[in-house]
Formats: sequence, structure tokens, C-alpha cells
Amino acid sequence: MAALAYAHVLCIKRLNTGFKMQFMLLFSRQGKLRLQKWYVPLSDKEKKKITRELVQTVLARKPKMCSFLEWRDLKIVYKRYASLYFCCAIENQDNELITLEIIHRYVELLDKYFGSVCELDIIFNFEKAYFILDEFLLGGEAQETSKKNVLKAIEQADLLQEEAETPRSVLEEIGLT
Amino acid sequence: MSDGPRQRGKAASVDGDGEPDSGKRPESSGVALKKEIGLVSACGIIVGNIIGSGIFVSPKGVLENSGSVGLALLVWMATGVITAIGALCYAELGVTIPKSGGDYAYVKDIFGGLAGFLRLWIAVLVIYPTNQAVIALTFSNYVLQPLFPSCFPPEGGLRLLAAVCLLLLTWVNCWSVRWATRVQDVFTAGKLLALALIITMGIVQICKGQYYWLEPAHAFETFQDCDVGMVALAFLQGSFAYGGWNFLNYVTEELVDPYVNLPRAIFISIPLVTFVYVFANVAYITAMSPQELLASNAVAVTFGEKLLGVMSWIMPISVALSTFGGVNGSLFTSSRLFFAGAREGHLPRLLSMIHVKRCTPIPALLFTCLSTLLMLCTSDIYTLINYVGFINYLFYGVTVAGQIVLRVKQPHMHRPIKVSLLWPVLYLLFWAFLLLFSLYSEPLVCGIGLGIMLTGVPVYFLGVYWDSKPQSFNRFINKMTSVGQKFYMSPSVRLQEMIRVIRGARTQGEERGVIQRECAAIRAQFRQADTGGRSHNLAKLLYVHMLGYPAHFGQMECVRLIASPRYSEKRVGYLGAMLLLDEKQDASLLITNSIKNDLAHSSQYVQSLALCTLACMGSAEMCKDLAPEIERLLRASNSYIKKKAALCAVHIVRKVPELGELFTPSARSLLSEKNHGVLHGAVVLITELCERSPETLTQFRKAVPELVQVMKALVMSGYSPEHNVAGISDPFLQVRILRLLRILGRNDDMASDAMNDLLAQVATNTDSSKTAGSAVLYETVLTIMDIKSESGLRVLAVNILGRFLLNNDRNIRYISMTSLQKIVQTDHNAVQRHRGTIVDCLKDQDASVKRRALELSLALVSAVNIRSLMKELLLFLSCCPLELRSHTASGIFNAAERYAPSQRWHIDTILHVLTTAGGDVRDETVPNLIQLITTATDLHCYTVHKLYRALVTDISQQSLVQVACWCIGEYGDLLLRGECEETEPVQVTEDDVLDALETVLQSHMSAPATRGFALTATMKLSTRITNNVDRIRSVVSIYGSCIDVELQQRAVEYNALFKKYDHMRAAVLERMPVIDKNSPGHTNGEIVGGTVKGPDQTKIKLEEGTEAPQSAPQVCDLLDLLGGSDEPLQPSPALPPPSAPPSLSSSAGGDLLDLLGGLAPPPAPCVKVYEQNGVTLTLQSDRQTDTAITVTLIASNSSHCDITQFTLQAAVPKSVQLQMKAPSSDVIPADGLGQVTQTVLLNNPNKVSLRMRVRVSYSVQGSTFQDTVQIDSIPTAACE
Repeated sequence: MAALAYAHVLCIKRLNTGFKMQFMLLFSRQGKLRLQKWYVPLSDKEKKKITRELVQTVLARKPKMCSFLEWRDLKIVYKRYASLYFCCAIENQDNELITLEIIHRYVELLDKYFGSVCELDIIFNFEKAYFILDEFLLGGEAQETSKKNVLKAIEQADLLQEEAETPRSVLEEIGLT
Repeated sequence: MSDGPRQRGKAASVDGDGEPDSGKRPESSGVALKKEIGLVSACGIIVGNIIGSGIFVSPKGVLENSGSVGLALLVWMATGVITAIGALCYAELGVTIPKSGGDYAYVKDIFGGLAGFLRLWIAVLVIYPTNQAVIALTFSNYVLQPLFPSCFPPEGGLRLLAAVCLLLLTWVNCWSVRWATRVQDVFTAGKLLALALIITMGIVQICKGQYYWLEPAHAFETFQDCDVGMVALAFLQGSFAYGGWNFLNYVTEELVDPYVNLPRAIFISIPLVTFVYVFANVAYITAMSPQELLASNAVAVTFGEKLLGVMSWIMPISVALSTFGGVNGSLFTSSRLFFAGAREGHLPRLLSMIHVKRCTPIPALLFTCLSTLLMLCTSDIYTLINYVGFINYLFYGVTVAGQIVLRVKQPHMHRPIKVSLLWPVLYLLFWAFLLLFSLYSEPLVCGIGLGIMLTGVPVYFLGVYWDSKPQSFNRFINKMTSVGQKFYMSPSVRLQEMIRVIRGARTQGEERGVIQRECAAIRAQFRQADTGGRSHNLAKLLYVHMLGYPAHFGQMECVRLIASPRYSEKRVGYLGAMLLLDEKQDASLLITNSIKNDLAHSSQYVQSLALCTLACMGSAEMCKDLAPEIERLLRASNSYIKKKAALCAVHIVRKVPELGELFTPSARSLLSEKNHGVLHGAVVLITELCERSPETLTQFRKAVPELVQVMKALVMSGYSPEHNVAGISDPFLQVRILRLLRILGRNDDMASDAMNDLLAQVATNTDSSKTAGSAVLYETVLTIMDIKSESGLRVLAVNILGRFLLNNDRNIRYISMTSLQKIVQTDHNAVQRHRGTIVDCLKDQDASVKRRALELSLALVSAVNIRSLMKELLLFLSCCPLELRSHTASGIFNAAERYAPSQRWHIDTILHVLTTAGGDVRDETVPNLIQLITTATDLHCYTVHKLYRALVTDISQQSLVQVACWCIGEYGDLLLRGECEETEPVQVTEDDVLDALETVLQSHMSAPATRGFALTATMKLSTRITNNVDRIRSVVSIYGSCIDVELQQRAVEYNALFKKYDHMRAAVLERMPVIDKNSPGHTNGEIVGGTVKGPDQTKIKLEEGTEAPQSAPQVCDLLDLLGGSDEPLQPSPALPPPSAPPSLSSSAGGDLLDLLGGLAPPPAPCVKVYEQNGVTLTLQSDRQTDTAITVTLIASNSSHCDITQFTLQAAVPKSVQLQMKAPSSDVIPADGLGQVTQTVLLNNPNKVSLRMRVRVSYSVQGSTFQDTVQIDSIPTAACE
């Protein structure tokens, strides 16, 4: 077991060479995972182990504590929004404060998209939350620094998806157009 | 009234598109994620749930049955009270059985399947349809009444309009969930408007003095015979208006601190509702006489006509709207019950199906609509109310009874809310009264209700209980299901519904069961390969995967969906690939081709999916295959694709650094882009390229001016709303550019020069009040520190960090501390300037900041500032969080050792630490401090006084007590003399000191080691005091029978010292010599090693105090006053490195054992020099220096009788000095049970060959023997 854990640490270490975000987790105050995005290749088992460990660590922190912690050789940046924790793992060289901004930007995007978002929105529309994240971050880096552009892209893609799902719009079917 | 059990909000109800919930609170940041519902919102939800159109229906029924205005008002109030009691009981049940489905779930859990089924049966067949019928009839009443001003509208017309309303709403509900919720929102406003109007008008009326019917004299004027049975019916009518309270438990799920707030919410909201209802009735009465009220079919309309004049139309319209919404709400929520029933297997699957596209529960809606139409045909509104009221009450009672049953059956179940049993009992009493009397006064109506309920019994046994149904029946049901499926219905397991079911699972096991069933269904559908719903199935699987269940069987489905031509399927397919596949799996290779095709797709959104997936999980192989495609996209005209391609290239370079060259030219050209997204991507790509290859780095150094330009433009640009974050123009881009500059400027003077100005500009112009600005500043500081920047700039950077320390945001303070810590070595003086702020941060509330501040403060300690800084640190130690204490203490020790201005200050500091955090210091503190004290010879008196006072005040700090005991024992004479100029003279008597030590010995707080210290100290005092030696003797002898073996042994030894060896007690207990910590051969390891090597080498050496240097660092050695390991001087190269210091008791105990009985085997490197009469004498020698040799003579006795008067005498050549120590005993016990050892020290300055003659004399059973042994050469093997 110890050997395994060690091998795992090595694995992370090997990857820890730059400024990249390693993964992003969303979990609830009860420790339920709501969203996970991994930018490094890890096995399911490792992912679960990391998630469990991190969730425990972060939930144990008191509200008065700051949003950063050092964990293994990564830096964890987390922020609580209502009942949800947004938690990013970044590498040693990375800027914690800008990561906080990235988290905040993601929350803003969710908020704009769902119209004042709540945890239930993210639970029931988790795939939408993923789509928004993928439109904002790519491979662990922010790809678009303008909120408007991200939302526009998501809207367009949603339209495309609806078209694919229903050949005609609801209004057409009722006969209003 | 009730709109049926209406659920609060939308997200928790059947609405599938997850529209945001009500009850949100905006966060300060402007971004709101829904908080849990607070108390106020919870009250709002409960009130909104209960108050419905019932208040426009029931007043007439209540008044009619109660017989007088006063009684009617009393009935309204009493119903409110009863409702509150019921709600309390439900609150307990709701948190004890946390399961969705309300009463149905509780009844089923407590009374079993049949009762649950009956509740469901009655709800489906009676309660929902009747509710809807009543509200629909009210609706048509209010619509038609204004059209028939002088008479009642025709009965047929009423029912017809009600039916039309019902059909319309059923259609809307079947059509779209979204529309249904909109209807709900719009029409809820209606009832609020109407109620507000009524109450306001009522108050106006009372103010005008129109309250004839409210005066007590008139209020109880009965207009019909008062009858208890009728009053019961009045209660039934009234409770109709209060319906809906039983669903308040839905609030619990998201309530803040539900166990406190739920009862509070009940106590606030139900009285509020009662108040509103009573006032509405009062208002009615002010406007019309009871007779008029009874004659009206639509109370509110009559009310409006009387008071509102031309505005009277407003009343019927708002009530009609309200009731319309009521029917909708009831229809809308009834399907939830169908789902719950079908899930338990109590209802056919068909009823829980939903339309694939519209996501509406069409079969359930049609069923409800049909049964409501039937109800409409049967009888009038008030009979229906009685009917539904009776049945509803029946089950409320059963549920509340269930609460009592549960209390009896499972008394120890966890009940977060536990109400007094008085409440359910009260409720049940009232319940019994109500049921009996309503049965008595309306036997027919109530009888029919009971009858319908009982029809459920055979149905239950036939349909649910009977497992082995005939084939034909099953076939019929299956056929029905498949017919349903043909009509575009699917089983109710679309994504949202599945999530809801999983969330509803009460236990882990239940959840696992649900998921296993779902997974089986998904797997089966994957195999069928039909095209519909594939993406839905994969989405479901992804949810299951997120919960931590295996989902690998979906991998192939991802591959298939990615290849699909439809965007909706591709989108989910790619999402699945990113979640389920990783580069180690073979399946990931299968998607390479699809990605390649999609990268060339005509739609940018499809391209984007492919790019995103590649950047997320592309393996090295994939990257190699697709790199040319990405490079092509980098040169595309579309910036949406370009920015993604750039980041994708970053991923590729990370995976396959050799491919960097491919991207270098295009990356260079991307720098001239205007689009921030592309620019950002380009900067990240260049950073990556430069990190990987030094040549590229040199190449891009030429681009520094360009980057500086871009950055300058960003900093200087005016406000651009698109990229502005808290007043900073695109901090994301700024940070990345600064980082790239850092890499380019590292170790390069020219590049560093080119950016110096810019960095100064950014550092001075950026506003640090918000996180975004701080992020940019922080990055600037890092860059300044990393490149070859001017010294002024570096000072500026440190000052920025210093300013950060004063920031309100604890994150920024933390960052500042972390960075300062990194540079404290290189820029020590610059950091030193901020010492005051840093020390202030020790008082920060945030533990992480505190820790950082502590580390930094410790790093800043120097000889100059130690006094002031140490004061702060000691202050911090006294109030710091527990987890930081030991760290702080050891930090202080280290700093004190390095920079202590004087010994006295040093001792004071350590003592201070011990007094405040004695429990958290490391073990070696005690010996270290003792060593320190012994060296400070002129401070002995001061120290012992101080420690004595500390000991008297507090004996809980173990390490302090240990040191204090040691010092009192050692310097007790100084303490008693009391002549110490540095402290105020305190006269300490011998008794005081002994009292203090005895307290330590007896205290339950003292650790065994501490008692050991105390006992030894007591013993040592015996030579330092004059009068109380007897007292010490008795203390020591008491501990001779102590239960602690260690202590007992010690006491027994000391006892022996008192009795047998009293003559040398003084010598044994003499003061310890100054311990030289740094002398060679005294390290921990060797001493430990000596002990490990075996007790065979331990000998008694009574004068160790004078000759053998005492070893300091180990507590155990200090304790070993007598049995000490006297081998510290022996070089022991052959020893294996000790793995761990032996525990105190084991080593000390071992040594002590030797002292007592000599259980140890004869020493290994020794020579047998004499053997006669069973007496064996062996010689063992250790060469300590070139000239000094320690010879140990060990005598043992193998004969069967004791040897007494054993003495040894030795003679050596003249040039050799001989010193004989006292023997360990003069009696050798029989049968080898013990030995006598005697040490001889030889000093051989001339290095002559050593010879020794030993005379042995002893007596055995009275006869005396004497022998001389000649030893010609002393073996020296032992010393190698």
C-alpha cells in the first residue's frame, strides 16, 4: 500500500514541471463530488484516492482559513460558493490568486448561464456545467478571457444541439409561426 | 384549501429542466450560488404552500356547519393550532425517515406495504381528483358568478366550465413542463392579490366601525342548532384551507441548520397563516351578514360587490386566476406521487412513463384528469370537501399514530428533532373526535370514502403482494407498457429523473441498488444499438461514474457517439471520452481518426469539441498523429479555433517536446493578434516552447519588446468592459505575459533591461485592492525577483509584498508570507524592514497565515532583534493554536540557542516556554535545559529559586516539573540557603521543598518519568538538608512498594542506600559535574549503543559523580544515578547504528536490574582469572585512553551456599597508579543468583606492561578462604 502511494506521488511529481492546472473538482459541503475535470492522465483508482483525500482535507478547514493549501507537491486553491466547493490543483510555480480569479470566472459563467445558479442546477445539468468549463478552460489553461465570448459560444453550441435533437422548434409545432 | 400537496420550488419538483430555485440569496460578490434556504425563506415557502384558493371556498362551509360567527372564527383558529401540532409531528417524522414521498413513505415504512399502498391508492383515486374537482368548481363559480348577478349560475354550466378548465390545463401540462411552471408562477400572484385586497378592505371596514357581527353579543347568535357533529364538519371544511402543510418536510432538504430552523419555521408560518385566514373571515363578516355569506356561492365576489364598487371585477378575476393556478399545481405535482408509487412497484410502470421529447408524464396526467372528471359529475363542492377532508384526516391521524408507534418500536433511532409525545397524543385525540363525529353526521359521505379505501385491499393483494401472477396478467401488463412505449413514452428514467431517484435513496445500499438497475438498463440499451436516446444513456452513465461507480463499459459507446453525425451525440460522446477514457486505454486510439475528421469539420463547434478533447486526454501517440492538423488550425482565420488550437499545441508540446519546432513559427506570428483569447493562447504556447528548449528561448528573447508593447497597451488602455475584471484590464492575459517575461528575462541582462521599465510601471500602477489586481502584482513581484532586475525594483517588489501584508484579504496575506519566505535568504535586509508587519500577522485570525508568519518571524530572528522578537514569539506561544505550539516552541529553542544574548536570558526564555507550553516541547528539551543549567554555574541559585516557584504554582507541565525536580534535588542546598541576590529573598524551609516534591510524587498528573525525577530529587536532598532525613527515608520506603515497577525499583535501591550503604550515600549523591555537551564520544547514539550492546558491560560505579563524565543528552542516563551506563567513554566503532533510542523504562530498568540481582550473563570479552569453591572471578578491561584502563572484576558464586565477607585486594607495579572502587556487595548469593563487581582504575603513564595481583578472600559457611591470583597481562581485546 505504501509502495503504491509512493509510486503515485512519483507520478504526480513527474508531471509537475510547469504552470499547468492539474485538475478541478467541485464538491458539496457533504463531500459529494459534483464535477471533476482532470488535465493529467491518472487511473480511476488514483483519481478516486486523490479526490477522497482532498475532499477530506478541504472540508476540515475552517472558514476563517485562507483558500490555499500545500498538498503533496501541489498547491490547492479552493473557494466555497454557498454549498459548493470549487477546488483546483495547480503546480508549484503557478499563481494562486489568478487561479482564484479563474474559479470566480467559472462561477460567474455558470451564474450567467443558469441565471443565478445553485447546486441543484449543477447536479441536474452536470453535462452543461462540463460544457461551460470546456468552453472556458482548455487543457487546464484559460482559453477565453472574455465572459461574453464564452457565453456566446455556449449558446450557439446549445442551439446546434437542440436543432440536432428536435428538428422543429416547439413554437413551430404549436403552429404559432 | 390545498392545491394538492404542492412542492415548493421547481428544482425539487417534477420540473426537469432544472430551472433555478426560489429562495436565492445573492452573494456579496454579485455571483449567487443558491445558498441553503434561510429561516425567512422557509417560512415563505410554507406559507405559500398552505395558503391557496381554499380561503375562497371554505368560509361558507365553515360558517354553515358551525352555526355562528364566533364559533366559526374559533374553528378557524383551532384548525390553525391543530395544523401546527400536526406539522410538528411531521417534522419529527420527516427528519427521522428522510425519504421523499411524504406521508406515503412514512406510512409504508412504519406500517408496512399495505398501509402505504392504501395511502397511495386513496391519494391517487380520491385526494388528488377531488382536490382538483373542488378547485376547478371554485374556478367556474367565480368566473360565472359575475355573469349571473341575481341568481346562482346553472349547475350544468358550472361543471362544464370546470371540465373545460381541467382539460385545458391537462393539455398544457402534457405539452411542456416549462409552460406548466410558467402558468404556476403567473397564477400564484392572483391569490396573493385577492387576499391582500380582502384583508385591507376588512381593516378599513373595522376602522369605519362596521363590525356589528363581531361584537360578542351578536357573534354567538346562532342561526341554526348547534350540534357537535356539525362542528366536526366545520373543522373538516376548515382544514381543507390548511391543506398542504404536510409537505413542509420538503423544505428540510435545503434548510440552513434544519433541526433548529424547521420547528421555528413551523411556529412562525402556521400562526401567520392562521392569522391571515381569521382576518380574511373577519373581513368577510364586516362586509356582509352571515346570511348573505351563506347565500353566496362565491364569497369573495359578493365581498367585492359590496365594497369595491366599480372595481368589483377585480375580485372574481384574481380568485379565478388563483384557482386556475391551483388546478395546475395539483396536476403538476400528482405525477410525482405516481413516480414514487411506480418505483416501489405499487403502480403499473405505464403510469410513470414520460414522453421522450416533451419530458411530460402524459399517462399520469391523463389518468388524473379522467378521475377528476368523474368526481366533477358526482356531487357538489362541499360534499366533496367533506369527503376529501375526511380521508385526508384519516391518514394524517394514521401517520401521526405511526410516529408514536415508531417511538415505541425503535426508541433509540436517531431523531434529530424530537418533539414531546404530548403533541401526537393531542393530535390523535382531536383526530378521533373529528372522525367519530363526522362519521356520525355524514355517514354516507364518509362511508363512501372508507369504502373506496377498502377497495384498495384486494387490489394490493392481487397486484402487489401476489408474486406468482398468471402469465396472461403479466403479458397484459407488458403489452400495456409496450403500447405506451409506442406512443413515444419511455420508462421514467431520463437523466434528471434518474438523478432524482438516486438522490432520494436513503441508504448507501439503496443507492447501489438503484444504480445497478440503471446500469443494467443502460448496458442493455447500448447493446441494442438503436439510435434514439443514446446520448441520454451515456449522460446517465457519466453521472453514475461521477458518483464513483464503475462505468468502463461506456467507453465503446463514447467512441460510437463521437463518430455520429449529429452534434448532440458528438457533444456527449466527447464529454464521455474526456471522463471515461484516458490515454492508457486502447479505446482512446480508436477516436484518433474521428478527431482527425472533426478537426476538419465545417462547423467550428465540432472542431472545438475535437480540440478540447485532444487537449484534455490526447496521448503522445495521438499528439504525434494530429500535430500537423493543429498546426494548420493555428494558421486558420477563425480566432475561435485559433485560440483553442494554440492551447492544444501547448498540450502537444508538453507530451512530445520534439514537436515544439513545428509550432514555433506560427506561435511567433500569433503574437501580433488583437483577440485576447488568441493572444493568451499564443503567450502560453510560447512559454511552454521556451521552457522546453533553450534555442527557442533565445529566439523568443527578440520578442521581448513586442510583449512589452502588448503589456503596456493592456496597462494603459482605458476601460474595456469585455476584459475588465475589477478595474484591471484582462488580468488573465497580464499574468501570462508577465510569466513569459520572467522566463525570457531569467539570466539575460538585455531582456531584463528591456522589461525593467514596464515592470516598474505595472508595479506602481496596479490597484491591489481586489484579487485580480493582486494577482497581477504578485506575478510582477515573482518576475522582478527572478530576472536580473535593478536593485530599486527589487526593493519595490519587497515593498509590494509588505503592502500585501496589510491587505484585508487573508489569501493575499498568505501569498505575501509565502513569497517573503522564499526571498528571505537572498533579500534578508529588505524583508527585515517589514518585520513589524510580519510580527503583527502572528495575531492574524487565519491559522495558515499564522503559520506562515511564524516561520517567517523565526527566519528573521537575529542577534540584533532577538530580545524584542522573542517577546512577540513568547506572546504568540501563549495564545497560538495547539497544532502550532510544538513548532513554535522548537523554533524558539533553536533561535535562543543561536542568538541568546546571555545565559540567564536563555534559561529564562526556555523556562518561559516550558511554563506556557510544557506539554508540547520535544523530549530532548529536558536534558538540554539541564545541561544548560549545569553549565551556567553562577546562575544555579537563581535558577533553582525560579524553578521552585514555578513548581509550586503549577505541576501540570511535565517537562518543567522534571527540570524543576532535577534542579531542586541538585541544588537544594542553594535553595534552602535562600541567599540569592537576583530574586527577592524567599525563605524556603526544608518541609516546603519536600512538600512540593511529594505533591509531584502523588499527583495523578505526573507522568512516571516525572515521578522518577521527583523521587531521585527527594533522595538527593537527603544529603543536602540537615533535619528531615527521616522524612525522606519514609518517603523512599513508601515507594518501595509502589505499583510502578520502575519507581519501585528506584525506591528499593535508595532504601538500600540508606541502610546498607549509608556510609557512601553522600558520595553517591554528590552534585553532578558540569556536562560538556560537545565533548566527543558523548553523542546520543553511542550511549544508546552502549546500552543496546547489553547490560553485560554495566557495572556499579558509585563514584561516577566524581570521575566518570556523566552523559547528558538522555533522560534515562540522568535518571541512572546508580545504575548508570558507565561506558560512555568506550569507543564503540563496531556498534550498529541504533535504530531508535530505547524507551526510558527499558534501559533504565535494565540497568537497575543489574544493580539488584545481576541477572546478566558474564561479560563476553573477559578472562577468567580465578575459580575455586564455586567462586569464579573474571576480569574485564576497557582501555579508555592510551594510559588509563578500567578493569572490572566480577565475582560469581556457583556453589549452593552464600559467600560472605567477600573482599578483593589488588596490587600493581609501582609506576602504575591504582584506584579501587567500592565493591557492589560483600555477599555473593548462592547458585549464581548474583555477582559482585568491583572496578579498578589503572593509570599507566609509563606504559609499562600491566601486571596485577589480586587477593581474594571470602568465607563460606563460616570457614574463611584466601587466595592470591597473579594476572600477567590485562586483556585488551575489549577495547578494540
